[in-house]
Amino acid sequence: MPVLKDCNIWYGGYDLTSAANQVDIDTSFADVDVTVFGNGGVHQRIAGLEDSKISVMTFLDPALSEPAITSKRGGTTDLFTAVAFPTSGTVTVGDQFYAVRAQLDSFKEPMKVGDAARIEASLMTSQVEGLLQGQVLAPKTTVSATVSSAGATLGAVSAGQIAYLGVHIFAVTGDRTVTIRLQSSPNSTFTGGTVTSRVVLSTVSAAGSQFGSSATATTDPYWRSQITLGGTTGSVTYATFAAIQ
Amino acid sequence: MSSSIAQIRAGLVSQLRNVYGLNVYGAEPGQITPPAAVVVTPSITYHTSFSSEGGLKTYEFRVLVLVAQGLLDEAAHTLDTYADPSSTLSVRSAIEKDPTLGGIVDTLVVSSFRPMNAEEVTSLQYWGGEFLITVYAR
Repeated sequence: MPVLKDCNIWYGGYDLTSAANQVDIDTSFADVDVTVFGNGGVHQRIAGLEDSKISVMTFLDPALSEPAITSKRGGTTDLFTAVAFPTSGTVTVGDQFYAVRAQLDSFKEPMKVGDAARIEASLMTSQVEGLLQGQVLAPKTTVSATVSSAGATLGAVSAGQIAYLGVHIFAVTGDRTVTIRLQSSPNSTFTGGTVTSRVVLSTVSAAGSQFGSSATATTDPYWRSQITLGGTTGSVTYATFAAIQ
Repeated sequence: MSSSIAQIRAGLVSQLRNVYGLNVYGAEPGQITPPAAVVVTPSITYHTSFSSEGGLKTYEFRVLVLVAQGLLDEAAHTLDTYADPSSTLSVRSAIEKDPTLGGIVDTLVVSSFRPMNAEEVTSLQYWGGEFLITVYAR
């Protein structure tokens, strides 16, 4: 049973890790009663609609947690990601994440004299994929040239499944533009002309989050992200992750 | 922003030096010249936020203010002056004047003051009091 110490929290291109100290991911399924006559007098139930709620507690940092949360007022949907158990405390390729595209449901700023200021947010899933569970492809890193992440073994995409790519861009400096792809390959080394781009996100030039998906079935088990930089000066700080479900 | 105990201690010492006439010591000295303020090694609550490396930590610093070798009327009045938040020699005001200590901590608050009890006075051989400072830093 690991003790939670280094859970990485990313929200809409903000790294809230050093400001947050509690996250709750609460997923539930509606209770649908399908009891019929003649069943022996016992209720029968099936799981109904899935719903996920996220709550996160942060200390109020005017340059970090406050803008990260208050900028989502008015029903904005943004990408929330938690890497609960980074390898040896540092997020590594293949670490498991939970992510959800969620709408800000509410936030509160409890104020008590003598206490450290806090801001807490409550989010609700708002997109069809619901709660995602997958693997980190590129841990948070800063690059100044086009680079591909190491490969992760996510497995094949069967008919009816979807491959998802999530991205947090934490900072863009200089005149850089960013295009990120999700790529698959039948071999772990991604060599031999067998690399296929499954998701290509739109080119951006500012911090924020991005999300894309592909419903194309493939037997390729290996996946990576590729970040292509445009411009000539500056750098980009980002992280990527993918899930198949 | 990543601060060491030494940096925070130095920041507190710097703030305390703004209290006129107070001799400030950044560590427990062998001998002091009263009136003196001594910044004692803090107790620490780790993991106040996520991130073992760059996460928030809570430091509880004690600052001992020692005014005389016995409980004399003058010593009591001097200690009152340091403890009084409206005094021009207020220790609390001096420390809280810059709650980031020049940008090395997230914030701080001087949460309490108490006069030393008889046992402490006997042990230290000085009359004085203790300020408790809660510091949040990454």
